[in-house]
Amino acid sequence: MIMKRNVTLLGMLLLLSATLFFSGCSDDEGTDPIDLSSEYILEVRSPDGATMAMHPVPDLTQGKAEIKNAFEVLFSWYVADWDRSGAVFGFDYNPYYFSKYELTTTFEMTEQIPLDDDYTPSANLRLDNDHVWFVKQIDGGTIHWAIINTTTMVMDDEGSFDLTVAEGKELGAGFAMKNGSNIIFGYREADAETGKDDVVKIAVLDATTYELESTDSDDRSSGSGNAYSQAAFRTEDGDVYFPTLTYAYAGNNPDKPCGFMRVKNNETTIDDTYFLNVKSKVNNNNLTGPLVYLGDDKVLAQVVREDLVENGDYWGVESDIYQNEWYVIDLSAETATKLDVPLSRGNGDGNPIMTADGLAAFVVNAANGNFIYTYNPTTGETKKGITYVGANVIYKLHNIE
Amino acid sequence: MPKMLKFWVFSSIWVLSLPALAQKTGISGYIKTADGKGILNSSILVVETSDGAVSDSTGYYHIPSVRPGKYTIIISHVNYDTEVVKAELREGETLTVSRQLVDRTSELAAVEITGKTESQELREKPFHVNVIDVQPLQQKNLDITRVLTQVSGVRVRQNAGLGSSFDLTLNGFKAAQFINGIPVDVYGSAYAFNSIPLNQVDRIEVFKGVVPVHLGGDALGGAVNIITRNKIRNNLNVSYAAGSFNTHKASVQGMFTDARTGFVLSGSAFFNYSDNSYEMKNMVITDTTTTPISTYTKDVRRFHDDFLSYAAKADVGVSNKKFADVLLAGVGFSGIRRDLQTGSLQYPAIGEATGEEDNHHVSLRYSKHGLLNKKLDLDGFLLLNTINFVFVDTSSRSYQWDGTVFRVRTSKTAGELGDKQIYRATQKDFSQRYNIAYHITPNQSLTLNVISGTTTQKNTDPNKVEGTSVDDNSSEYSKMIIGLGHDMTLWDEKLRSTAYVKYYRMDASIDSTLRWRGGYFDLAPMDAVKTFTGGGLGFSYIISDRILAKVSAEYACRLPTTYELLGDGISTVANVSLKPEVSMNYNLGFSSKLITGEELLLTFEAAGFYRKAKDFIRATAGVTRSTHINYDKVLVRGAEGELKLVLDDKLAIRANATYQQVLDDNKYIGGSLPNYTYGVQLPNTPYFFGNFDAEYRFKDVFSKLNIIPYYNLLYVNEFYLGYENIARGDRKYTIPMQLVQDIGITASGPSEKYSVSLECSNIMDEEVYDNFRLQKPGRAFNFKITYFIN
Repeated sequence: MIMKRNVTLLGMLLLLSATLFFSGCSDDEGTDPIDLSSEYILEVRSPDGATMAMHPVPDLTQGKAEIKNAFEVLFSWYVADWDRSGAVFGFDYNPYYFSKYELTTTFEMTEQIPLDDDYTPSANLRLDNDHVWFVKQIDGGTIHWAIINTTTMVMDDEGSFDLTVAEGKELGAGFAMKNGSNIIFGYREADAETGKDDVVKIAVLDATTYELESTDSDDRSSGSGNAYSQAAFRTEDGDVYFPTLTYAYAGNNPDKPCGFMRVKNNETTIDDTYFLNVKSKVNNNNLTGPLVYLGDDKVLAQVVREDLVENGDYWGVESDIYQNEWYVIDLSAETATKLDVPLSRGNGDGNPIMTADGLAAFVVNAANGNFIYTYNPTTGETKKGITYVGANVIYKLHNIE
Repeated sequence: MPKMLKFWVFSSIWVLSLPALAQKTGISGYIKTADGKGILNSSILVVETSDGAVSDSTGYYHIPSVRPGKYTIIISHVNYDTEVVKAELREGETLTVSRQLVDRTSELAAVEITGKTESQELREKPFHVNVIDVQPLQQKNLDITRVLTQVSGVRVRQNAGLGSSFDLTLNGFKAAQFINGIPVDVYGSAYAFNSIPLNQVDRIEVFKGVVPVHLGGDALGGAVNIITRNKIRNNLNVSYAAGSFNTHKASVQGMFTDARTGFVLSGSAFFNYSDNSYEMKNMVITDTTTTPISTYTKDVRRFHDDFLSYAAKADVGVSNKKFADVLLAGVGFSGIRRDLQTGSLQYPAIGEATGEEDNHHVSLRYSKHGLLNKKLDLDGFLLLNTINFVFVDTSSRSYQWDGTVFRVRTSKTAGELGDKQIYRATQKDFSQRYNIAYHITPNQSLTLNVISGTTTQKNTDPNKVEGTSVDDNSSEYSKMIIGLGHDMTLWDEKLRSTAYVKYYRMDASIDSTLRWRGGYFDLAPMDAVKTFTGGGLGFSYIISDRILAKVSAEYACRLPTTYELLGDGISTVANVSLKPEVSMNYNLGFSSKLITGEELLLTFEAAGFYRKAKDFIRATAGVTRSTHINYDKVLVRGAEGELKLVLDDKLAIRANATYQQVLDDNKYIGGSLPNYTYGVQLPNTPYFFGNFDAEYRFKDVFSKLNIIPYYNLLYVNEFYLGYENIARGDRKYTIPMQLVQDIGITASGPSEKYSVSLECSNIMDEEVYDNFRLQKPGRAFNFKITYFIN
């Protein structure tokens, strides 16, 4: 009898083992159809921050999206929506590729360019519908740049120029923006160990040859530009404005105020008659970097609440140590108006975008959920848009049309 | 092989062979079962001289070189009751001692886990423990990590071939690793589990979930303790193996002891080398001659993955003295040389970066049992170790997987794996372990175990390339773990209990590191102190002569490392507010002898485990800087089972399987946001795996040869790189299913003194991955010869 029971038990265990043995990872279950009319890509991170996914959505102003319907992509240091013709571009590192992802019959990788393994793409400038100039790598005082054709996925040109760099310091790219026949290239010369930057610096390049013409600096602030996201912009009268970021992950200089500086249209030096000290307008807090120009000298920009910063995850991807607010800043009137939206978690790598309807869309990773909000520059109205379910944060927002 | 190394290896073999070459004749006989069948592998030991022998398949043994005198002879075998015989050997005579042993147990032999009395004792303790008697495995060309892979609940995930880095997990959590109760890190990389030869190991103890008081490490998932051959007896064990990818492994280990004077001399040495030039399938190669440049895939061989490890040590001292059972002083050295073929990812291929390590140590071992009227036992071990590391990464060339140079990097500062550097570090470790056991009554004992270690590390980059960010730095790290335990047996030793508390303390300091201060970074010296108190409780009960049940629980911790607490002063920022990882562990298990017939033995073991952990330490995903934070709560639950069958002492079959759920246990993120992955399997974590092994013993063929063909199968189910419910299933990255089969055959001579083994691993040449896109070796052939005298 005992023997019989033992044999029965054994049989059940073997059956269980066989069932598990032949079961593998399951395919798609319960996912929604892909909306191929999507004009926007939400770049999201899993709750542990380790999985990166892209989620095409047709409308940012309403509805709900869930991470189970997103597309996993290889982890990329940097994803850009350079092309605005249905694609986003990722810098992958296993292997090193520029990968082009498009919305075809699905969201898929359509082309790749193999890269050398020392690419650290940062400041970039869209030259036309097909070409992007970007800094691919900085080596001591040498800035290496390249121009990629985003349609053919060919590197059309590359070169370098040299800047001076002091002992114990290293250079970092901040922004690139065309100004007449020149490109204004903002950069940092920061302490190699602490990352502390003391002075705002720009280099002026010939917009045709990309050769260095001159440099300028200004010690009223530090932390020129926002490296990975294009934070500089041109107003209707052609002036170039750029943020100066003094917070930890940028200038790392608590003694300098953040703000906006200007290079006037067709000029090659920082306008010493203008500096908008944003810190003094936002309760001694600090610009984080993400911003979008709304027109009419107004900017929608993110500000970190320094009084709420805690110890822990300095990059803010996985926890809530950074709590951010959104402000509309008037560059002429020199005012800052806080928007009535919840505090948003994260270190603010993602820029807000302008939609086809003229709305500014921006990310709010609130304590009770992740959302896209919109701001109407004409009416001044702020509205909650799409709700995102399942991510730790909406990391970036891309406009692909 | 370098000339000096060759000289050293062969000199060692010769010196250690001397006691074996001086053999003479003395005591012999037959060890048989009650029905007259010869018993293979009985151990016959002459207590007074420590001479011994092992019986062959007819039960015959012979102990040479015994002088006339009165002796106590112990005859033992794992499956039979031990016999103690008093006998006298007269001048000019040969003493015959033959015995019939009484069958007392039905434990498996051969590939089986368990064996010795010491092992059996441990198995009956309340811990959930597997004790692997490795001696039957030493004829095969196995290393420790591969033996561990065959244990239920254990996963060893290796990045590549011989010497590559590996992760060892027990029931879903990382396991602490020890050699003779000392954390393995302090011995240096040559003594890592994937380097130390199996022929120098006596047994492997695998503690799952609950770690006994005598092991002082901090670990959530359990611990693996390697017990090296250190029994005081004359023995010699020499082995050499060679195989595919220009792989060579040599090992020699021996001990000479003189019973009259108590003098003991022991030594061991080993050498491992491999080109690791195995084939990588479907690797992406870039063709720069086309416009635009294009790619294609190709099968290529690894071209920069040479690995060399070596070690030698000698101990000298006395045994069986009034003041000490054992007192041994030791000295040794070891080292590794390795080429680096990849970083943590498969791309890019690395073509020039190298690493090396040299290590010198001295040790002192003391043991005295039976003090204070046989109530007090003392054990102590001291180890002073110096390790010099060099890491060289100075090349500007970017390599492809076919070994060609893709291009020369324009950067003056970028090396292949990071900043260009010649990084040198010196690490000094002082480790000490003391164990005091007091036997209150025959059924109760108290144990106090203290283990402490201090590690100082100084690093420098004297050939610093301008602009690199590696700076001279130094750090100090000390750890102390005090454990107090109580063991008790009741009811005719049917019930055993253990209870203990452990106190952990660590001090860490670094002279310069990045600090987070008021929302900004600066550079400063930092230090941190962390403490923790935990404990455990366990019971085992022999329900019948066929069933043993166990239950245990532990509140365990893992202290943050210096690196996690204080960063590296380069890109990892200090976070002194880190808390220890903690876990509440529960285990329930039983073992049963299903069939115990004369010719058929069938046993079954099963266990369930449940772990609830919090404050997992993890690195954040910073691009230029990162830090470590307490983040995750994890719930682990699962079951494992193992079935063993032995038929007619010839056919041995074992099958085991483990099913584990390692689940995200964070209900909320960011304070109040419901966590979408709550209750979902953690990324990159296998959930179902198992092994099947079979062997058949052909006895006495070709003049008393034992021939054993064997077969092993390893299965690991496919699992996701990310969370299961993140992103669309058909577009998710996975680590594919592993189904690896090995076959081999061993042939051993009379008394199994010598053996030859041939093996083909991964016979189907499967493309195998433990980690995402990191290919492991395909089909490989090897052989091994072993010479063993005990």
